[in-house]
Amino acid sequence: MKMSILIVDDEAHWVDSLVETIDWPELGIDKVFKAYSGFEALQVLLDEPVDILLTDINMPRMSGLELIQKARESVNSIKCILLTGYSDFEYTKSAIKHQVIDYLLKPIKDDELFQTIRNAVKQIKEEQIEISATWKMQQALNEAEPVFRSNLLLEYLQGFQYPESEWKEKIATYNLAYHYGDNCHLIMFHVDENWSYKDRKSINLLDYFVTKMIEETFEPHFHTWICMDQYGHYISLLKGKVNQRNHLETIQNTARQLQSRIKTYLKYTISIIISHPIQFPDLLTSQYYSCLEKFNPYVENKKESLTINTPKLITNQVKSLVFLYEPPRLFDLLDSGRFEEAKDKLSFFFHEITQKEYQSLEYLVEFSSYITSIFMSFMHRSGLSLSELDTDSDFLMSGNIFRSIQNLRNWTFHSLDYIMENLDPYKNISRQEIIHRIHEYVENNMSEDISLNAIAQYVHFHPTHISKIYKLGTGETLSSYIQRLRMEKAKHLILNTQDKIYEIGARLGYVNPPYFIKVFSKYYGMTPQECRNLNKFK
Amino acid sequence: MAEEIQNLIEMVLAEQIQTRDAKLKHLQAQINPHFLYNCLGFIINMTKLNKKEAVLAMSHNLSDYYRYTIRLGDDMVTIEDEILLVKNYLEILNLRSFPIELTCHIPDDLMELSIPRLLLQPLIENSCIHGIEPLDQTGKIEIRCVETEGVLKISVGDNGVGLTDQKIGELKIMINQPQKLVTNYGIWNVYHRLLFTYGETAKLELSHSNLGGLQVALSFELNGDKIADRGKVS
Repeated sequence: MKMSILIVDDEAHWVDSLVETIDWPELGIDKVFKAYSGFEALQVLLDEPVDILLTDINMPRMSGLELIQKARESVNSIKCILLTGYSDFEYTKSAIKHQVIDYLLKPIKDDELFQTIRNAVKQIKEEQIEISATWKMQQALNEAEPVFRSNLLLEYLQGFQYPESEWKEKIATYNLAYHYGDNCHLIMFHVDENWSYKDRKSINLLDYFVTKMIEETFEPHFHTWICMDQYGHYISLLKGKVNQRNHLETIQNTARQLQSRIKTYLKYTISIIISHPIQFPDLLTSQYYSCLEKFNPYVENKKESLTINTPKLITNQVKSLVFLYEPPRLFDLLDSGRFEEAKDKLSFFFHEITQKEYQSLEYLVEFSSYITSIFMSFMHRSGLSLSELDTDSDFLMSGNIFRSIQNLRNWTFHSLDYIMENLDPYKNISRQEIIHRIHEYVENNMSEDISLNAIAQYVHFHPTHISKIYKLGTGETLSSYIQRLRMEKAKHLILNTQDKIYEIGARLGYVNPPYFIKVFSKYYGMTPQECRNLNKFK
Repeated sequence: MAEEIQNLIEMVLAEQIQTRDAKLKHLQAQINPHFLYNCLGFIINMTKLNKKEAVLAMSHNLSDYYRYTIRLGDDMVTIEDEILLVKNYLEILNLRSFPIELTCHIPDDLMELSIPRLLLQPLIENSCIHGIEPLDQTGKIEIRCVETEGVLKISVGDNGVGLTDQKIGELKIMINQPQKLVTNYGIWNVYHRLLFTYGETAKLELSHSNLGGLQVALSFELNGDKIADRGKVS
């Protein structure tokens, strides 16, 4: 931080000796100016930034005290130190009166001077920190003001309204032109392109430009107040600068200009809906929602449309999205690892949601939240993080909801693939371990009657859970495994030992030899003896 | 008769006391502490700046100045001595960045005349401090001595800010007031010492100087006895 001092005395030697013999940089002072009279000093103050003024009191024509007063007029924060040959109570008094930070007796002792200057430098630094903090806060507030204003409008659109008395304060705080009872129109803009949300940065940029262009285009005739809703619409209130009830015609003309400007400069087409006049803030919410319906993502909007919203009472029967909740539920399918079935179910969902009866933004929001919440919940249970998904995870993370079915569909199936690939390997291992123990038990007890209960006891799990886990982990049922194992073992013994067929059967738990032969024949398509003979001929 | 003698004695006594008071005040004034501090400050500053010549010049002038002003006794000095002191004083001011040009119109034969010590110096200081310093430009002081028919007139004029006619009038009244009511001690002191030395014929006149500022003129009848013998004084 650069600091400067101005030393003033009509006796040159005081000034010269201070200027030349003091190590100013050591004291935190970069620039030292001098003046031999009050007038010279004021001249310096005009031309140079001075932080500290060190002045003699007794000077011809303009005393040090007058100089201080005048200096304060040009540099309010200047720190003043008086030099005086008198140690006199009167001077102390006037020093206090002029808010001088210190006064020094001539001839000045170096120690005292250093102390005083350091003190002044410290004070200035503290003040500057304070000033810069205040300034930064002000900057931040200024930068955030558009955001605050936009949020405020969004609150109103969504049904939250302040009492009129509070609103008056808000108007002042946010510098708004809208008083209760003012006539205004609601106008809603929609960029026709189907967005992929991968590139948030370019969307922000687009938001910025569109907002600016709306402001600029309507500026000559209207006060604008713009916000963006979570569906990506730009909404503005328009209040005529000329007081008349209905501005529809002007708005329509201006809106057309805007459409063509945006097309020219941004290469996007936008659709616009304009409301009939309303009195702020009455009907704001209902107008907003009815405009929203017009931009329903199911309805193929005509590109670059310009519509005047005629509010109709829409009396659609509200239904529940029953298909979502039919068992087996999506979550259970995911949880039990039946991913292929889950995939089928999701395809079914996406087919259903596009049926005419469900074509409304509300249903889409329900549908979208349901699916995303199940996926997230399942992923988290499986130790997977949403942030590892490269598709639209940022978008979801910032609390957004898919506004297009296509985007939701892409995200859903992508996530499902991701889950199938990355399911927590430890979960598999523990399942494998159980399967391993089942194998162990079965192999060791082949000659016994192997029951589900016996296995369950061995691995300490509930019998139904055992068969489920086994099926999930290996893809075959436990009973077919046991049979397969016995048959393989039987074949092995038949081919590699001279043991009698009935002995082998007994060793594998088939107490009844004909039954053993029957099962073996069914499994291999030949009797045990045929199997043994066949091999002998080879 | 005895009563008259008594009165006279008391008058003399009172006058003596007043004179002594005046002398003490005068001495204190001559020490002039603010002046001294500033000169010492100059010496300190010049020493720091390694300006040996300036330190020497100041020290010599300062010691001469104080040797002359503080000395007791030797009530009478020559005009030349007094002029030397004035030059001494102005040189000190000059060193301290208050340049003042001195012009003396004094016939050589008058230089040897003896006058009360420190008769001129207070007038010069007055000119410097009250007249010239507020002006913030090079000062000019003119000392003129004229003798006409046994009356010596010494005038000191300056180019300082001067005084209004009203102020001059007030000052004229002031110098005849008792000491307690005095606002300008320098001039009062000079006038009263003049009266003490030369009696009722002595005058102090205030007027506008043709240099632009104030002019103070002293006049008194020369008395043969009062002509100083130069050898005796020094």
